[in-house]
Amino acid sequence: MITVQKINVAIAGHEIIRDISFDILPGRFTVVIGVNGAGKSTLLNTLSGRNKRFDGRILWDKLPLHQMDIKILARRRAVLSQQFSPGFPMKVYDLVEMGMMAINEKVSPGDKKNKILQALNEVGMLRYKDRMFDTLSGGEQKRVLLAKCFVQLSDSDHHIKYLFLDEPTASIDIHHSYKILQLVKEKCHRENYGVFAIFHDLNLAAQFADQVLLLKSGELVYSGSPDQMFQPDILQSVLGINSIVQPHPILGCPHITTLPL
Amino acid sequence: MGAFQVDLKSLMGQSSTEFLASSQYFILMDIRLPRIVLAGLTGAGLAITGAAIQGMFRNPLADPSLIGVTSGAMLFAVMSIVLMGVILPSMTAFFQQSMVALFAFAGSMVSIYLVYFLSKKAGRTHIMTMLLAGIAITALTSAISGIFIYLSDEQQLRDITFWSLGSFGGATWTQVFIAGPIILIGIYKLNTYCHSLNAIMLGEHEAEYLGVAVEKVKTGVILISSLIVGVCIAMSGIIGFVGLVIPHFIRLIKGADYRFLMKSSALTGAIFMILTDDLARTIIAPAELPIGILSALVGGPFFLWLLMRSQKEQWLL
Repeated sequence: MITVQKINVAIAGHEIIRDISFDILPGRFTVVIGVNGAGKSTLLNTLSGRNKRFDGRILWDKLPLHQMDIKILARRRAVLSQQFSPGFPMKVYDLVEMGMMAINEKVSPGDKKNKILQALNEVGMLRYKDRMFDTLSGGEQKRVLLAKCFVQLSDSDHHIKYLFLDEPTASIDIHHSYKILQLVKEKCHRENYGVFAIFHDLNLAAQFADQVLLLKSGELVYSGSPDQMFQPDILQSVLGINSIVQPHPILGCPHITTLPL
Repeated sequence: MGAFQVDLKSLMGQSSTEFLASSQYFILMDIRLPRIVLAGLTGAGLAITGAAIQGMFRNPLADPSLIGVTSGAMLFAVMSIVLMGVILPSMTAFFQQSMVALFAFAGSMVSIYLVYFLSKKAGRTHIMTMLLAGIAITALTSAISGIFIYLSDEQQLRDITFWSLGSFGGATWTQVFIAGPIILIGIYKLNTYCHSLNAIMLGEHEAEYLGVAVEKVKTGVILISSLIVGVCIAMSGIIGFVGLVIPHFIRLIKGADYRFLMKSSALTGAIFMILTDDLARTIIAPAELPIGILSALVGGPFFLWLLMRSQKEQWLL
């Protein structure tokens, strides 16, 4: 469990995150929602250990984040970035292989290869393993990067693994969005990953999230289950939108119909 | 090969005692061999440095001259040539050469120190600031070099020109024994960064996510690179082109994986430099072409051909 206790983040004198506390639970899909500039990315960067300047406490399974070695951290969490471009042309297989950098010394070459091929198979990209990454479509690239995250977390120690996703479905078509999120959800349940994701699509969030955090001007204004969070008055106050919320006819989760302002 | 014919056949024919006393033996062992070794070391050092710096900057156009190392060495070398002529006009050639080497090394260290610490803010090295600082330092040191060149007399001007075009002409075993360990250990250390440089290709943040201590890598690459380049420049003057082009040559053929790129750049750089130096010695024997001219003259067209070829293949794909 990642325990966030009263963290504050200021960048260049501006308060970006104010007094936020919550938990990320293993096996649960936590989604953070908020308008642009609400502090979502800063929150993700701070939790994942990239931004080291914050006040308050972040405990990773009872261990303070700032005491964790960069390599140990790399074995326990992976980050799927929103923007990604390798500096040089690179093969899909080689790119996924890089995910294993932090656990290299712990696996045999044969095991390593198996893990890479298995991860590529899981995301349905095995037949593209020898293609150049930059020739793939946006959706395919995201799946390859997800495979990279999976191999990064494939260390067989008994620590809980966390997966951070920064707008995983931004500029991805709806078919691939489902594909990516279902893969993550499955992994989250099967391997007990704690998932922390930034979302903009409310209906996708309602279908996949176990816990929803609503962020406004750097403050955590509401948090709870999708049923509790997706209500017209809450959505109006946090996101400034008019909406009707009905139960999804098949899935039963909230279904949000947005209306003009 | 070279201005003095060392004939392999006649070497074989002689008894060992005769051979050891002969001038051929002297030339082979004390002039040719250190020269070949130094050329190899320099080529390897410059090429692997180029690869490492390109990786660190994530910029295929980067080479040691970009971060001010070369121009700093140039300034100090020019300064020493001109000022020593004024202060100690009666010094020996050997003494002068040693001083120039020492100054060149000091110059590269001073300029890299300036560039590196200008670009360090809040514990992070800003690559963009570093490039710009490198350009500024280069401009500044070039201008001051210009002043000294303007003040220099005929002989000094020749020395400066000769030095700035590079040569292995004066190579001695002493040079090899000083430069060798530094360059070899440097190459070994740089090569240990190959995994990290691979990760940095994905971006600095991505590399950190993968567990790479990016700041440590950057500091290491900068310090070791400037040490290698400083030594190379001190021993044999400014030899451009190798650091920029050899890594690209390898990339075009075998791809950008640093696990392979670093080692093979060093090897290819060494071979390229030895061959080019052979050519430089023989092409207009008994005179010699400066190696800096020849390496660009030989390597340039070849690289262009390679570039055109790979572009054509990409169109076909």
